Amino acid sequence: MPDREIDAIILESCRRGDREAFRTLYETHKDKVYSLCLYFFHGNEAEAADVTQEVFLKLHAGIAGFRGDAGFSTWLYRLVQNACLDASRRNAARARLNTSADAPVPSHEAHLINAAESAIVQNAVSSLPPKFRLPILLRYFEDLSYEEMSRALDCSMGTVASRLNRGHKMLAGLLAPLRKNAAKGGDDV
Amino acid sequence: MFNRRPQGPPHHNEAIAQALSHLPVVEAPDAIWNSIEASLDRPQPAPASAPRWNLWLLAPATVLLIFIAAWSWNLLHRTRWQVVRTSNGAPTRTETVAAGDWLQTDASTRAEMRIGDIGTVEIEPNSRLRVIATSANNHRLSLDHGEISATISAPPKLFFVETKSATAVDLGCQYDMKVDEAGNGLLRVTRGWVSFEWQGRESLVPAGASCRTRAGSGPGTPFFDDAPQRLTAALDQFDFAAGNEAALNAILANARSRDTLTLWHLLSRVPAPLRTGVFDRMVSFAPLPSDVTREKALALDPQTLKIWKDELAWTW
Amino acid sequence: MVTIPMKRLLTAIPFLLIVPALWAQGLSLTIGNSVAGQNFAMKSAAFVFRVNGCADLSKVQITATAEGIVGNARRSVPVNPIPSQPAGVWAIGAQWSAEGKWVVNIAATCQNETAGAIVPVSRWTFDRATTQLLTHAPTSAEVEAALKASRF
Repeated sequence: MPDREIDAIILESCRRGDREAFRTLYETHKDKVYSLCLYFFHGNEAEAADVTQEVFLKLHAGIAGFRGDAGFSTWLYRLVQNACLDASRRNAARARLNTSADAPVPSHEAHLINAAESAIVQNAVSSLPPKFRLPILLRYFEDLSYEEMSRALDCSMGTVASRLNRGHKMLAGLLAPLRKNAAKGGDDV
Repeated sequence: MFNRRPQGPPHHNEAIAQALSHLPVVEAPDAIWNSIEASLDRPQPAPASAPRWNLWLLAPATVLLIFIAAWSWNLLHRTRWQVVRTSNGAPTRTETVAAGDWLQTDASTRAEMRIGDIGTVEIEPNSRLRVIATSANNHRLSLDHGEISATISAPPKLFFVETKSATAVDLGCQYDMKVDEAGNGLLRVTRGWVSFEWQGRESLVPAGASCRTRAGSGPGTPFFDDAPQRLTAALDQFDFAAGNEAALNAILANARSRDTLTLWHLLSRVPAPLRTGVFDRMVSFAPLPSDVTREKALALDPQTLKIWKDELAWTW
Repeated sequence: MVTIPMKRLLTAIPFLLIVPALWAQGLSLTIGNSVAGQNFAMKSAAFVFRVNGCADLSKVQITATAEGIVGNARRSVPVNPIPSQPAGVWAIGAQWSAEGKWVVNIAATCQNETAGAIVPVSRWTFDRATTQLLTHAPTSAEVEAALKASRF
């Protein structure tokens, strides 16, 4: 998915302190940001909400200086990355794999099979080291190119490629139970 | 090389993509905005660390709603759109829809559908529509009958609403669309502009203008909402009732300078012998741009018509 | 019968030729719907405007304010016109509140010429019928009169 050109009017209105315009910006991007944070933090909604709030507050504080020479989404992902990594460092224990305590509790939904599979996937992604987790999440949610990710993650394209490669391999191993289930003809999308 | 999308090792990628399809986009809870706004309203700088959210544990209804919203996305397709149904203004149910799903409202309910991350569609009572596609570059609905209001904030040609008689191609805007069960309808644009298309016939509808559509005929000729009633009645006759020269003359006679929107579209829709009358009426309102000639305009040269439209748009 | 000395006539001819040319190419503004901007990034603009008759658009200077009455309070908000494409076109986004009555006061200067406009606006659109296009920067009296008469 290419970086979307944001409405220049909305952006300019945000720069001038228009709260309604900032709300529009927030509504446009909040779900993606929240989802990225949620899967980064093992499905921990409280942590995801904290970091989401932090991202948008930083966005609001920094929007006056956003010149638009890089894509808006690239800048936003940079904020997301920094906020996730900062929070992760502050809560080092929570960032490690914890399949039981932090895994999202399936509700009484009827789709228990899908719920269980999602929990596996979510935990697998969350268990990746942070520097592999974010590239995988950005690849999944936003389909960024190497160049876009390198700008967002502030590293070289070669580094992006390397991290994706290692992240894929680790994820493949963690998701092996899911693939076995699919091979047996289990419920699958 | 680095502008391509990352592929990853082939034998991993397919499994990972399939597995990752289980991960839905989760709606951010409303309370986040409340906290952001509270922070912005405070006189001190935004805090480096966000306040703790232990209060959520004290709101089981909120937590339940979050889980229901989050896990409602966990259905067959990766990309599902959230729908909130309301009755008398109060939310009654939250659900998600994916490509292929139908959505219907009765006489007492409305619904608001989130279109990916590009906007929303409000669905009026007694409406029925189908979600056709929910992919990143193709957000597409089919309105069987009823009325919707779309507010879209995205690059053009990402959002489409099909009816039996025309497709609205979003070019960035806000509009209402009403369709009856036969597929006859009315598109009204309130912000931005919409391209209304069917089988190669296209009507450009800017803010403040409307366009009717009829099953079997496609979109009619756009007109401004404040156009004289005699003009719009004659236009209806011309577009959908095999209108003849008399209808066209009535349109020309009642047109104002702003109605060059209508006349510009008519130029390529009237029979060639009648084109001169439309052309002459248009130039009576606004002189031709320097790079537009009478001959090329009457010959319907595409580039000429575009240049003329771009200049006329300043009067619309 | 009046006779004009030939020498005086010859001196006057260049001036006589230039004046009509200047008159024809005076600085002016054109106001339009966002569709006239042909730029989807400006789709939510209240309106767009174009500067006509300026030989070097890079030198044009534009000032704009939104003048309003909210409740009983008189408000004035600086407005930042956003350059669009093609050159010479700017978009004005709603930088004023949804409450009250507002007009946008624009003045454009190119070299030694100034043109202006007073545009009654709502949040998302403008009133073409009462928009005033001026050959000078709008005066305070003109702005106040327009604000009072605004239909929004």
